[in-house]
Amino acid sequence: MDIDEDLVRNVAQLARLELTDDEVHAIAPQLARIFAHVDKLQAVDVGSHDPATQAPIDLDGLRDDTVGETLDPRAILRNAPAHDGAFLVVPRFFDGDEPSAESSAPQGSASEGNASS
Amino acid sequence: MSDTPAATPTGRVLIGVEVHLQLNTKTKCFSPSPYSFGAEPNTQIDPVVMGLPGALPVLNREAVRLSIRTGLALGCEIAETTKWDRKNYFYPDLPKGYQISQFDQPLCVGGGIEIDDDEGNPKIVRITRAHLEEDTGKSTHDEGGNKSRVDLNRAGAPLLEIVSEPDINSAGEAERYLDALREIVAFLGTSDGNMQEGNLRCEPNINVIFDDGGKTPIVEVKNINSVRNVGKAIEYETERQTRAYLEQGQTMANTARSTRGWDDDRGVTVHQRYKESADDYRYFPEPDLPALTIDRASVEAERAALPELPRARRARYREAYGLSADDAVVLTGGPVISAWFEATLAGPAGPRDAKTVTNWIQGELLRHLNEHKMDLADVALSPEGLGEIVDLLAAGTINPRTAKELFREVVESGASPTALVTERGLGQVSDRGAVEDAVRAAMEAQPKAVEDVRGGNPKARGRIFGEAMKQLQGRGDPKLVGSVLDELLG
Repeated sequence: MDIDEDLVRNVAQLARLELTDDEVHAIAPQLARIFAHVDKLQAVDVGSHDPATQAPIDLDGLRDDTVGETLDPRAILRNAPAHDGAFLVVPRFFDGDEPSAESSAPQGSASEGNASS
Repeated sequence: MSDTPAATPTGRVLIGVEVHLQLNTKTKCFSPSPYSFGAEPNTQIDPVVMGLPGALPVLNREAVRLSIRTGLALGCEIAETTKWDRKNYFYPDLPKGYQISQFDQPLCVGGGIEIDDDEGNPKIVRITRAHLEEDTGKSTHDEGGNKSRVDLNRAGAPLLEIVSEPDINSAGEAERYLDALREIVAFLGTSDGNMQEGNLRCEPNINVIFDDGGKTPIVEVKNINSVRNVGKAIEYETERQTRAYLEQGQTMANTARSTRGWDDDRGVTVHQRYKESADDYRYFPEPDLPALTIDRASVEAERAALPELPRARRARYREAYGLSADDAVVLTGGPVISAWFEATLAGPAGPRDAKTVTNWIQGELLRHLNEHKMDLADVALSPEGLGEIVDLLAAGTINPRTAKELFREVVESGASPTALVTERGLGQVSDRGAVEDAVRAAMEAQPKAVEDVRGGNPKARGRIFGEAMKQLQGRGDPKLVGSVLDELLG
């Protein structure tokens, strides 16, 4: 895999890491060496085995739909940087991952977010 | 578009629909905290939901079962082996920084939902896949403010994401697709399917294909809270995209896919963002969850337990019972009314008359529910109770007026109509002597009406008839009363 500075910048952006140009410059060859090392594993002949992290389980191995313990809401709110009543408070964000430069939020209307897609 | 000149290309809208269906489990998909709509914010959270270090997800068997049940009803193949993957993105209502979803080995594949097209002909909307994933939390944004509030109760609730092929070609078809899906899950009991409460959410993917080969970029519309608004958003997008193509030459080739939000107040869609490519979610197999194998015996057991689905049920009601299309729609409006109808129909001495039973349910029963803003589940009357009224009437034991009075009483009390008739002597008066006495008394009490009828005004007959019934405490056999009255009036 080719590790260039654009790829480092892209990965940093996806991970929301702020890297200076010097850091990008330094990290690219380091990452390249790590990947080269991992590439050696690709050379191992594993035959026709599918990749698997664990042995599969069957339906019997799943959890019953039984209610268990929940966290104390006060502890959750205490742990959060900010809260308003029972709600956690975060800087206002937009639906979707990030608003593009051209986006215009519907102003003056409360909207409900739903990030799942 | 009807006013476009003949030279302009004609467009055809293609719509694929993503539905997120919240499954009716007691606990979350991968952890044991409860989830119920409307609970106090941030009270249904456990370490897995919160993404606390060391917390490990364990899949809820019931979420898998409800997914299989739904998938089978939609005609999907159920995977023999399925697995979960991490979909990575940062969002404040997703505490872990990734959503546990399914990427390349979904639980359910293929299938379809039959709907009516705009001409009323049956049409299959194919389903690409349906996979089981976790929901995110819920956020509300301040009006004009700079803060968002987050409630994580919903985070981790099990969702079945049902993705259709772009087989839908109008707003009406999209609405009927969603209505059909909602009906099916209501009969299955796998989800409440309520869009207002967000346990069914729909994101249509819309673009327009023109007969000159032009294609508009695909737009996904989010934040739609009702089936009707899905239709409105599609109508709006069809027009907007058509204009953007004809006036600005915007096409799939020169413009990226985008997400737009539905603004209900203004009835418009608003641009939100251009889409990240799928790669950027950096899906990878969830290392904390083993793959799942689903044995065929369990799948077949679920298949055998499927109820008859509403569309098939409607066809059967029309064919077997001769019901009208409208009656069949009402009586398959939900599993409760459908079960009620069928239970009332099944009399102890063989099936009761379907049209009569339908009229009682459609007329008296539904009117009563509407007037009192009640659900069928709340009434004390049982299907057997209504069946008794139908039988008493059919046997001539009571007259129609007594039947309605009985209904009004037992619908609240749940008492046995047969017992009440015996107890209170509500049986119809069919004794000729008694009827004659009553009619004579009525004629004496209404001399003017008698004169009018004999003078050639038949309308006045009703007054004498009513008086005679009153003499009989409303229990007279109406046919006998009528014929005796006609005789005595000469």
